Amino acid sequence: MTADLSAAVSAAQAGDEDAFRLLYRSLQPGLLRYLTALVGADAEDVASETWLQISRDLPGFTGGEFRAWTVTIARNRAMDHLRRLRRRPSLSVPVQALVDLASDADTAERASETIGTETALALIATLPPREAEAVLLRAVIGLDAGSAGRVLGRRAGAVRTAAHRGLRRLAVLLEAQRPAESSVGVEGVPPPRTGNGSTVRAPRAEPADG
Amino acid sequence: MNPFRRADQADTERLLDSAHDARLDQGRPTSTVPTAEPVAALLAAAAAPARPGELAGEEAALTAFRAARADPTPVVPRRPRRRRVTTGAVAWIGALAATATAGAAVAAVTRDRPDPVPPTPSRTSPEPHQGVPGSEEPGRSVAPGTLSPGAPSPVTATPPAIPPASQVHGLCRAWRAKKPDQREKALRTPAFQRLVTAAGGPAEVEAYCQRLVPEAKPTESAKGKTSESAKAKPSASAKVPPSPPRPGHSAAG
Repeated sequence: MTADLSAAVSAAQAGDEDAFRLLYRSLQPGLLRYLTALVGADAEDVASETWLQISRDLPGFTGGEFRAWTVTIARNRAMDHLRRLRRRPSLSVPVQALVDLASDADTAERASETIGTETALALIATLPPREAEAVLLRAVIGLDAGSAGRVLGRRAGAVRTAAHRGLRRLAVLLEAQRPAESSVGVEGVPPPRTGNGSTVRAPRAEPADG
Repeated sequence: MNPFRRADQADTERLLDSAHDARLDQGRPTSTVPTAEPVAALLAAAAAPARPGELAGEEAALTAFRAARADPTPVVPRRPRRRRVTTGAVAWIGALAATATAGAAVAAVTRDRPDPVPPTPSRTSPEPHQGVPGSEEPGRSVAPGTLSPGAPSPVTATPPAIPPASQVHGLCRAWRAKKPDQREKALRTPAFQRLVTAAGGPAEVEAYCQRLVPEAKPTESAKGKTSESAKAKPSASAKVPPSPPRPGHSAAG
């Protein structure tokens, strides 16, 4: 996959539109999901800005992990966006996700125990920001711990630890959602932030410049 | 029971890796991912293949790609920031240079003023012909130790300048820097005695200084400087032809 990607990168740098299309299709879903965790409903706008910059800066890409390069751009755009909104880069927590999860789980019990992508992402977004970012970069974008650490400006070990904690927290969360056995022995894991998601999510009243 | 609660970090790493690998297997629906572990199922769902809505911006991205190919200008938003930084740096350097120069001037004045060393009397009396620089005997040597070639002090003084001109020069500037009501008193202090002596009396100081260091930069100063630097070189007075002071003189050298 990575080999395919780098071939496509070279072709796109040479001006091949199909190669660029392939890059977009390969990377955009992960970027959008990651951005949704960072900026919520504005993710599509930020993703557009991200692709704008990718298009511009593509000739200057000199090798390395292309995925990490694009996701770094996306993250910078997201941080700029949040700064514009004068908001702290807190992850959005749609309360609706938990409600969805409950119904999801109900159907899941009867059906083949699947949960939807939307719900899964919303659940990950309830994690503390560091853990959520680590899980998303590792599992959804597909970076290894080292690359994810470079994107986040942290050590690979710190990324591993954060992702590990995040997954444990998710496990507890999933367990609590299931009305199954008497297994609510949540040991030591602080509850995720659930409240005030709707208030944090400011509506885009005024258009951001840009 | 959730087995994941006892998972160690290696398990997590495996799980995270497999989530993305499963996604790459585009044909496989997420339901076939083993759901024994709910976390694995959740990760698989989070990394599921693209949904149609997620690729809605494809044409827009391609338009941007084409535009960037057609007009490969550098990224615009970075420009003004860099320029602002540059302007700031230039301003800082300018301010620094101004401060440094002012400091040097102050240092020059303060160095001249409280000079306890008695001036070495220059044995050569100044020439009476001030206006014609360097026109006299080529071998004329003027006390090389007392005048540095780079000193910006033209010797245009007519009176017998006992102290070196540069020192009187500095004394004049220091004296002028004082408030008018303190000038007279200052001339009674030992620090300005040399100036008084050079001027020929306290009453003459003002006129003397005006002559020596006029407010406007005179042409005399430039002329004197050339001749001075020529003179200050111990043995090279003939090599440096003085610049003609007046355009009427033809410098056919």
